[in-house]
Amino acid sequence: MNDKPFSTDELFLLLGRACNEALIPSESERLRELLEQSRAARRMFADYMILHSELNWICQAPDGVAPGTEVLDSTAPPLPAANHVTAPPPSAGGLAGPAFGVPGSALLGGLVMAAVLGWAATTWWFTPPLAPGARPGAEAPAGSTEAGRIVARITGTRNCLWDATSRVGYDSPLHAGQRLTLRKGLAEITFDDGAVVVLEGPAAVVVQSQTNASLQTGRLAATVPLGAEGFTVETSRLKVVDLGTEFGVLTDPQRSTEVHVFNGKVRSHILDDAGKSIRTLYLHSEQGARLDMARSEVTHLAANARGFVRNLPTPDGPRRGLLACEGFFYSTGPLSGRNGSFGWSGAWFDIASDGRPGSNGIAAGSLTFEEVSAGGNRAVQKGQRNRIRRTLDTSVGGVFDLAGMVENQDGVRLIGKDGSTVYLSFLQRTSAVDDVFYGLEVHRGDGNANRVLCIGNGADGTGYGVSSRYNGYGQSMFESVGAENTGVNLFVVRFTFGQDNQDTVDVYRNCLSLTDESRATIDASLRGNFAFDRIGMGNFNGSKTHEVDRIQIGTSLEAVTGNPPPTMASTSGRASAGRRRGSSYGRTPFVPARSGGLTRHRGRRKEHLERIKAKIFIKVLEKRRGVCDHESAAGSTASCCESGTHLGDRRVIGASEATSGSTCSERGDCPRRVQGIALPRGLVVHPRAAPDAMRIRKGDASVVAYR
Amino acid sequence: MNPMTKFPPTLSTAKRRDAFARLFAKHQRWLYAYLMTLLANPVHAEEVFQEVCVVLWREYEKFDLNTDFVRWVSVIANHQVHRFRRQRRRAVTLMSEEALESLASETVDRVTFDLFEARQQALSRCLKKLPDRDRLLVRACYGSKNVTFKCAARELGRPVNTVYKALNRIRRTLHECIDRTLTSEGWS
Repeated sequence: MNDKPFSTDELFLLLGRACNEALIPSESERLRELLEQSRAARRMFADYMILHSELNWICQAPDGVAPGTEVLDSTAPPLPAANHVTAPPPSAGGLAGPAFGVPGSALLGGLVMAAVLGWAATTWWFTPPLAPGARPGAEAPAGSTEAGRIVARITGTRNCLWDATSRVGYDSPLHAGQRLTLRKGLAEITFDDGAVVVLEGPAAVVVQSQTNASLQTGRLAATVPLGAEGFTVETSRLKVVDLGTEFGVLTDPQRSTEVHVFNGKVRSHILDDAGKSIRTLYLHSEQGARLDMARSEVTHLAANARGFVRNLPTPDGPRRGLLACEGFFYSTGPLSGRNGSFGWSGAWFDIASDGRPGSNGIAAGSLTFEEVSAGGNRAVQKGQRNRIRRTLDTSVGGVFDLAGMVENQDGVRLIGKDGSTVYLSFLQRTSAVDDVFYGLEVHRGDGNANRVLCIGNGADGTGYGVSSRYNGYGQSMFESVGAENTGVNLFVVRFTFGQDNQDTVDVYRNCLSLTDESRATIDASLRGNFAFDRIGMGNFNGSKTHEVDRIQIGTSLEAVTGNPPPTMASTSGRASAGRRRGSSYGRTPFVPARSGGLTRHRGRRKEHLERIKAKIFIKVLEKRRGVCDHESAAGSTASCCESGTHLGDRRVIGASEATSGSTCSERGDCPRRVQGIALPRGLVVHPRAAPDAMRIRKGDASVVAYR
Repeated sequence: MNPMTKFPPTLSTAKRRDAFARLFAKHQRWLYAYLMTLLANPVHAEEVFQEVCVVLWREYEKFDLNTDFVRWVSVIANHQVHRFRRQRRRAVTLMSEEALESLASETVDRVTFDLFEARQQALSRCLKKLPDRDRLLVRACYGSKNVTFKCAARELGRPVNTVYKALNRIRRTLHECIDRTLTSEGWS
C-alpha cells in the first residue's frame, strides 16, 4: 500500500534543494507527498540526510577530531578508519573530583552547558573540560546583527560634493544607520546584498541595512540583481519593496513621492503618518506612480526612465589593482589593429596568419565561465598558422611603471621588477583536446625564443600545461595543469618576481574562489626569469579553434577576477551590479511549470507571491462557485461552467476547460471571465496551462496555481 | 565498546557514568544523523540534539547499561522531535506526521548503528575519490558554522545557483558511491 513508484532524479533534485534550503512551497509539498507514499523514498531520504549530516559533522569538526576530516583537508594519508573514536574518559580528574556523584557535577554540568551553548562545541566531548572545544573562528562574526556594522560601500562617484557631516568618499564603507547627504554629483552605493543604488545629488539617504535604504529627499535609482530581491527603499510616506527589478524613487517631503519601475516589478506600500501600510500597489515594468504628500492621492503614470541616472559606467581605466584589461569589446572581424581597453601600448598585431581574413578574429559573444560572463565579444583563432600579440604599456609614467612593476632588462623595459607580484587572468577554450599547439602566450619580445610562458597545449612537444621557451625547452620547462577539456577554463597566473630574476610562476586553473586566494590551489609552478612586456595567442597545426576572452593583469587575484566586467557604453542600466549577475541575469517573464510541480528556480520568489495572489483569486472563485456567466472576450467560456471544475475539492480550473481549449492563443483573446467571475484587470488565463493548474498572466508576470 | 557488553549490576556510580559517557561519545554522531533524518534541517537538528543531550544526561542513571543504547536514545529523540514540532508548527513542514512516524520506525529498524557506521566509512572513502575542486567546495560550504550555502557562495564570489547545483551533483555522487560501496560489502 505504501510504495508508489517515483523518479530517483526528481527525488534527488528535491533532496538537494531541501539541503540547500531552497525548496519552494510546491516542492516541499511534493517531497512531503513522496515521503508519505513511498517507503523507498523515505529510505533514500534517510540515507541522503545522513550524508548531509555527516558532511556537516566532518567539515565542522576541528582537524583530526572527526574521522573523515582529513580526507577533506589534503592528500595526506587518511587516518585509519577508526570510527570508534574511543574518547578518553572525558575527565578522569573530574570524576574523582569533589562534585562526585552529584548529577550536575563539574564534568556533567560542563558537558550539558557546552551542549546548550551551541554547536561550536560539537566536539566538546573530545576535548579536556578545561578547554571546552570552542573554536574561536567558528563563531558568527561578532555583532553581525548590531547597528553600526558595514552594510554597504560607495562604489562609484562622479563629481560628488558631500555635506561636511557625511565624511564619506569613494570606497567608503557605510554602516547601518549612516546618513549621507550628497549636495551635488552622482554616487553609486552597493549594498552587501547586491543591490546597487545610484544617488543623484542633492539627496539625503540613510543606509539602514544591507537590504534597506531610506530616501529622505532627492532621487535614486536602484538595480537589484537576482538573489537580492526584497531590497527596500523607504520614504516618509512610501515603502517600495523590490520584487526583482530596476526602479527609481524620488521624493520631496513637502510635495510628492514618485516611484518608477524600469524593469521587473515592485510592491509599494503607502504609509500613514505612523508608518503603517494603508494601501499596497503593484507596479510593473514601465509603470510609475506619484503620491501627493498633502492629499495622499495616488496618480498612475508611465515610468520615466530618462529621468534617472541608472548606472555609473565603469571607468574604462585602471581601478582597484586592475592595471590592464582586454575584454574584446570589438565588433566581429579581424582582431589585428583593434586598440581598445586599457593598459596596452598599441593595437593587436598579427605576427602570423594563415592568410584567411579574420582567422585571428573576433567572434560574437563572450566566453562564460560557470555562469560568469566575460562580457563583450571574444578572440578566436581559427587558422592553424596563427599568432597575434599586443604589447603592454611599460612606458615611463605608464600604469605598470606607476605601480612599481617595471624593470630594465637588457635595455628593454619589462614588467618584472624584483619583489613585485603580478597576476594575469584569462578565459580560454579549445575545440579539441590534444590537437597540437595552441596557447595564451606571455612574451618579452616577438619570436619563439622570447616566449616567457605558454598556457595551453603542445608547446615544444609538451602536453596540456604551462611551459616557458625562454627558460628551457620542451619538458625541461613544463608542468601539466591537469586534464585538458573543451570547456571554458579560467586561468590565473601569479608572477612572483624575485631577486636576480629568480622568479616563480604559479598557475591556478579554475580556482575555487574568485576573490580569496587562500582558497585556491596551485596547479602548476615554474621557476625562471619571467619578466614580460606583451601578451599573445598562438594556434598552430591540427584543426582546433582556440578562443580567449577577458585578459586581465593586476596586482591581486581579486583585481583580475573579482571585478565586474567593464561594460560597453551602450550597455544600459546594468553596468555596475557586478559579477554575480553575469550573463545569467535576465528575468524570464514567463516561467513554464512542469507537471511535477517543479519550476525553474529563477523568479521563484516572484512566482511565490504570484501564487499567493492566485490563491486569493481562487478563493473568490470558490466562494462564487455555481455562478455562471457566459460572457467572455473570446465568446467561448460557456463550457467552463459545465466542465466541472471542483473548486470546492481544491481542484483548480484548467485553462483548457476555461477556453474550450481553442481560441485562447494570444494574450488578447483570452477570456475575461472564468467561472463567471470577471478576472482582475489585466489578468488572463494562460492558454497552455496544464489541466490541473491555472496560470494567469498579468503584464509579463505569470501565475501558476497548483492543486 | 560494544553496547551489548555485559556490565555487572554492582558498577560504581563513577564507573557507570564513565561507561555511559563512552557510549554517548560513540553514538553522538549517529544521534545527530538520526535527528537530521527526522528534521531535515541542520539548525533544527542541532537544537533538538541539545535538548536530547540534556535529557540523556538528566536521565542517564535510569539507563540500564545492558540494554540497547540506540533504542533508548531514539525513544528520547523521537519524543523531543515531536515536542519540537509542536512548538514550531510553522517552521517544520517538510514531513507529515505519518511520514515522520514511518520514517522514525524505519530509520531505527533499518539504520542500525552498524549500518550507519558502514555508511560513515564508505563516505570517507568516497570523499577521497572526489576531484579536489569538489572536495574544496564541500569544505567551503559545509565548513563554516552558521553560514548558509548562500553565504558561502557569496564568499567564494560565485553565483548561488552554480554552487547549489554543484552541491546537488556532489551529494548525489557521494550518495551513489556510498550505495555502491555498501552493496559491494554485502549490505542490502
